[in-house]
Amino acid sequence: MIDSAVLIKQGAEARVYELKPFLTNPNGCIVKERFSKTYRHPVLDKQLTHRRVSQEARCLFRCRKAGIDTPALYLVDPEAATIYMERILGRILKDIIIEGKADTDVLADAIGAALAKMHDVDVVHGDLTTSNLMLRDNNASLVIIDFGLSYVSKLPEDKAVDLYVLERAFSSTHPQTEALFERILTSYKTHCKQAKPTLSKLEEVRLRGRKRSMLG
Amino acid sequence: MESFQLELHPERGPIYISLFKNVKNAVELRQRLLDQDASLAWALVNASLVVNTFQILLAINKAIHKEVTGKLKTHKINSEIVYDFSSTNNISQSLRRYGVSDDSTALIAIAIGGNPGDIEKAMQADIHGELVPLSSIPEFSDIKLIRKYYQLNDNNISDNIDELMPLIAGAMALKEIK
Ligand SMILES: Nc1ncnc2c1ncn2[C@@H]1O[C@H](COP(=O)(O)OP(=O)(O)OP(=O)(O)O)[C@@H](O)[C@H]1O
Repeated sequence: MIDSAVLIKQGAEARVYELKPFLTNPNGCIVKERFSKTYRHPVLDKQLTHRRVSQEARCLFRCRKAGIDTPALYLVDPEAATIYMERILGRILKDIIIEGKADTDVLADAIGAALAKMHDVDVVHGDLTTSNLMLRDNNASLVIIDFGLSYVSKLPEDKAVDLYVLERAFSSTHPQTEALFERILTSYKTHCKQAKPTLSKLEEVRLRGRKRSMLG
Repeated sequence: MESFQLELHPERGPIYISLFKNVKNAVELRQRLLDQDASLAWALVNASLVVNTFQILLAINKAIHKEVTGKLKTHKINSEIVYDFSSTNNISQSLRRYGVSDDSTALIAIAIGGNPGDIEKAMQADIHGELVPLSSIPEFSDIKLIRKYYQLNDNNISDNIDELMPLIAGAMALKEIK
């Protein structure tokens, strides 16, 4: 990585850097570099990483094109497993909710609407948490980030699991937010063209989850 | 003419970009490109498919990144820059659309490295037109054609440059990505 890039997050599968400025943009860009899992076969690993990187970039663009606020793509280098993208000037939702000053009804409506649009173009995010949702500082627009586990699927089951992952993230990170999550689902229902099959699958997924936690 | 630095590849030297309007010799320029006249040392881009300087820098950045990593599709950096404005893998179509055509009157000339004084003089000798600041790019942008070529025709997408630019950037970035 070039010297002027500053590491802002070392994850389990990727390193995230800030590079400022970038091509005259004083806000710079975000550089996300996936690295190998050493326990995998090197050739297989390269193919898998390659595919993951292009899938992440494609899903980002597919969402943006559908009118969902996501970081703009600047450069994709599959060989180096690196994506250069817009740096969002804003805060992650997790911090905003914990701080407790924001109007959570407005937030819930925005989240439900964004997820509805995303699922309407068959993008399943794969890792919905309040750390992967941001609010822009300038216009409070809700931005979905980190499409590292995303894929395209029409299946209500996949979309339901997507929502369930977010529900679990809410209950573990933000206690007493059941009403907030219900409001997200209400907004989702009003904005999504195919909400019904997904929401009835969500009931099944929840039951399975509960059974599993009773056993575990 | 304005100069820029590429953060990813500063070793390639400064980037020089000029915008010319009222260009009178597009036919001659295109012929020199067809003849592979090496003395025409610039990437020449059809300004009507450009919305701002950032878009130009993205294309240059991508082409140089591919050059450095041994991935040029057109074998020459100047043609690669023109090709990298496009969102499709069709080389001849991309060069036709984003490069000089016989009826071009607004052109963007790009040079990589070198002495700025010499370059500006040489660009003006080659391109018979009026040198104007890059900030006047929007006067020449053909938004309808831009939306068509970048396949941004959905009704939910507006003509607003601030909304279009991220989509143009994405369309450019995803070219060649399977
Ligand atoms: N486009 C962006 N603009 C601003 N900040 C960003 C952007 N992308 C990522 N970040 C910041 O970097 C953090 C990590 O990014 P991201 O979630 O994409 O990486 P990750 O390694 O997949 O993370 P995780 O392991 O938590 O899923 C985010 O929580 C956010 O704070």
